Amino acid sequence: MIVSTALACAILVGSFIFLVLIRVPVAFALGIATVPLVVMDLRLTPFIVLDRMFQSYNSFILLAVPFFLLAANLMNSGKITDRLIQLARVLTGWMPGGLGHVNVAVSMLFAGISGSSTADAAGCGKILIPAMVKEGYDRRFAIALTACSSVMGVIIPPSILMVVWGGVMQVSVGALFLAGAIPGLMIGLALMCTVYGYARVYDYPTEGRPTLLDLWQAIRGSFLALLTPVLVVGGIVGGIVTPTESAIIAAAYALFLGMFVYRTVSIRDLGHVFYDTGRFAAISLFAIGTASAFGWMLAFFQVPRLIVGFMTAMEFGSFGTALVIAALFLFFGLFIDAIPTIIILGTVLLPVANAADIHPVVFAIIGIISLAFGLVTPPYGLCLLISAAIGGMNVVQVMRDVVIILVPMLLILILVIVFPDLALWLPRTLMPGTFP
Amino acid sequence: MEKAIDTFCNCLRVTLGVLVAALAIPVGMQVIARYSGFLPVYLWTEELATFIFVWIVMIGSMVAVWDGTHFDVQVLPDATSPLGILLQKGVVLVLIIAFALVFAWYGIEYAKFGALQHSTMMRANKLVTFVSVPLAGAVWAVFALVRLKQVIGVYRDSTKVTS
Amino acid sequence: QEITLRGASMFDEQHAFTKTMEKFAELVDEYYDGDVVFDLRLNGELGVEADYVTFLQQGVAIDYTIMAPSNMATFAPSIPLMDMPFLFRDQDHWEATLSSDVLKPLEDELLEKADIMVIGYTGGGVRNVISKEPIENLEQLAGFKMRVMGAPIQAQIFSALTAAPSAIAYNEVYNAIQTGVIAGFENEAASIQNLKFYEVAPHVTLTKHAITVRPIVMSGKTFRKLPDPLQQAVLKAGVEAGAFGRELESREDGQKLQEMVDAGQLTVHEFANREQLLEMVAPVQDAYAAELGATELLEAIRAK
Ligand code: NA
Ligand code: NA
Repeated sequence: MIVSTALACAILVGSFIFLVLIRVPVAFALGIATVPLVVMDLRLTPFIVLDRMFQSYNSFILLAVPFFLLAANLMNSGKITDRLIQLARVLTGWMPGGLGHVNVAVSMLFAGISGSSTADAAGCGKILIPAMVKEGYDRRFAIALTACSSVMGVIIPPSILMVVWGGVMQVSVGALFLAGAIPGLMIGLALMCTVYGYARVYDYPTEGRPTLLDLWQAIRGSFLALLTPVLVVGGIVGGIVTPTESAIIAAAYALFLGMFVYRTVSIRDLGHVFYDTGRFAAISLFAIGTASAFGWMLAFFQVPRLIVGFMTAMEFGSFGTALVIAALFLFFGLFIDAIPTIIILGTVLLPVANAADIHPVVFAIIGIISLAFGLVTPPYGLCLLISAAIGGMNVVQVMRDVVIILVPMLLILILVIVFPDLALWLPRTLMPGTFP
Repeated sequence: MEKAIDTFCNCLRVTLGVLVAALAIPVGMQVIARYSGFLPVYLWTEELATFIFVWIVMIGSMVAVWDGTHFDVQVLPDATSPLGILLQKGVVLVLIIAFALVFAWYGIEYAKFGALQHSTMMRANKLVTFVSVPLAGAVWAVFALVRLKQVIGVYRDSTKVTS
Repeated sequence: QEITLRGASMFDEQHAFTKTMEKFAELVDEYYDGDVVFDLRLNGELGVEADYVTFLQQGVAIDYTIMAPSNMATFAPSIPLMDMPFLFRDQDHWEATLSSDVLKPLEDELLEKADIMVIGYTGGGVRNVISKEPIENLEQLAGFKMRVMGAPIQAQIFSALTAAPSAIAYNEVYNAIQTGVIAGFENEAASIQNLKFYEVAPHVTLTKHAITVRPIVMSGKTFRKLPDPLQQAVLKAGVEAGAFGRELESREDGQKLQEMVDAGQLTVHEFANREQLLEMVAPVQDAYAAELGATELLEAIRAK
């Protein structure tokens, strides 16, 4: 038989949600959900599912994923993360809710060095969640804050998502990196305000005032690590490497620091870091494969066309369209990983954004921030899953705090939509050539 | 049986680590080749990198089935009764086994399709990467089957104790 | 029983491929008495050209499309020969080749190894060098860091011209030029306009090193299932749609280049002693054809 658009959409999305509810791993749920349609529709064969999945790995841009992960894992293994925490502690620990601010600040520092939010959640979470619980913070708050602050990893440059976005949609990755900086910092500030509010309500402790000597030692200890963004962003803007290749620079530098400067990474550790990077990269990349097959199936049954047709017909205007775009990315982010969403939804919405006069860079930043929030929203939010696993709790238990922390972050997203110059100002100022 | 699988899985883990390290070679060479006069420009670097990449993903997916580390979503609460645990874990494993068998069966056709092709740069037969598809399917099926046996075993033991 | 033929394209309604495939549908309708429904999927909805090769080979998802020959090279290594750089002396030579059956050996190889049928030839984009800085002669071309398509022959040809070809994924080209990882690449006017490459590389040098050949292809599995009169209609329509597409694309290619020049987006440069380039690449072409066992074919094309 030939399956209609509505029925196909219902079967795909319905069986995916059902499978996820009964705890089939998301990667497999996406794959299994395509099977009924393959059986029903005589135009399709299982070959298509295998091929769509397998061919999605055939992308040079995706190589940025393991390399940025490797860089972050090397930082975690080489105790570079500890040095960053020390710096964050000195800089922000004296405020009420000290360790909470440290958690946010270290994510901002980590974000500036790594392109991966998940590695941030894993690396900082392992140290800060137990530390916060020990000082009397609510475990749920510690988990939710670690997860929510880690999303800055893909908003503050460098960012895996921006590399992929720039490649898929022909936008300057350098401009995207610069455009993400201010919104990223604002999200960090919003998070700190939330921490301050929590500290007032629950009377959380400070970490004490640092001395000038503490400050000096913390800066000296982390100075070389803080050079990483200069190398990565500089490597791209300076024309030495392509954005994908820049990930390998980050990894090589982290390796150099860990093995030769700080001497905290042994050959034995190195083997473990390589394995761990491969293991984790493979898990998320494997899901990209089945998500691509799932997305192709949606496209085959013309579901995206339905969405775009609807949106163009509604004539929301520039602001309205931007809101709807953010909402769509947020919604997709509930179920699928960010990279396949860029590939499936981003390309579909690009003409819609163009028609509504939204600058490609602003469109990208709106999309990436929305997708970053998807990292902490169930059912499929990797950063939340990782933080919850480290904290030893169920995702459902920490949902209330995640929602409270997310609200001010959502306000920043709306601010970027209302004032696109928040994203555009920095690239316009530093790369006048790109914006004639 | 479990012991043999653990050994096999450890081999997979070592391979995975080696492949991640190996991935740096072609990409690094690509950068170096552009800036040094003495190395020829390697057009095959991208191809080799993708080859390694595919194997990293596939081997990683196998290990994650054995370790149970593919991400799932905890919306429904954990089952507590022995029967509940059996059902909750058993149903998932049965579904994975079914998918894995489909994957392996059609993966054989897919691998044959790959064998018809040669890569553009290195002229390597594409079976080199395509064979990972049926292999992954078969390995998932075996891993999930053994896990299913363990889950049933745990349930049997628990009923023995109570009766 | 109604027959549906599904086509696919990476491009939008305005693109010459789309118009050619619409013309093809129109012509089949005209030459065939029964009912055929055409379902054309645009904008890369079903994937990119490299994916379509798989679909056609397996006879799933789509039935016909137009694509670059290099995408089929994994099955039939000789296929890229039909649009290798400097194969055609000029527009007339190109037209004479495509309206003859001199490429038959390549078609046979494709059908045998990939079960994909060539039912017509379109194309007509002229490929030129696009660069950040002007390139007007051999001295400026020497050591020119450029991105080439992913087939060994492409790299060999541009190496023979003393340029420095390099491996960059197509979707990283824009960023790579902007930041200076490469100084330019080679492509046709439509691509430069669509992906706004002129923003980062405002100089075009009229090397005219290739005129694109884009076969209209159908899955062998689909074709064999069609009733005999429809098969005849498809073959006839394919050839005629091809001629229609060649005329259309050649005309549009010139227009698009002119549009970008008029808009001040591109500056055009002639290449001094272009004939010299033809001499420099001839040995590479000969060696390549010999390696593929296609020396006779290359001679036949040159003799057209
Ligand atoms: Na970052
Ligand atoms: Na999510």
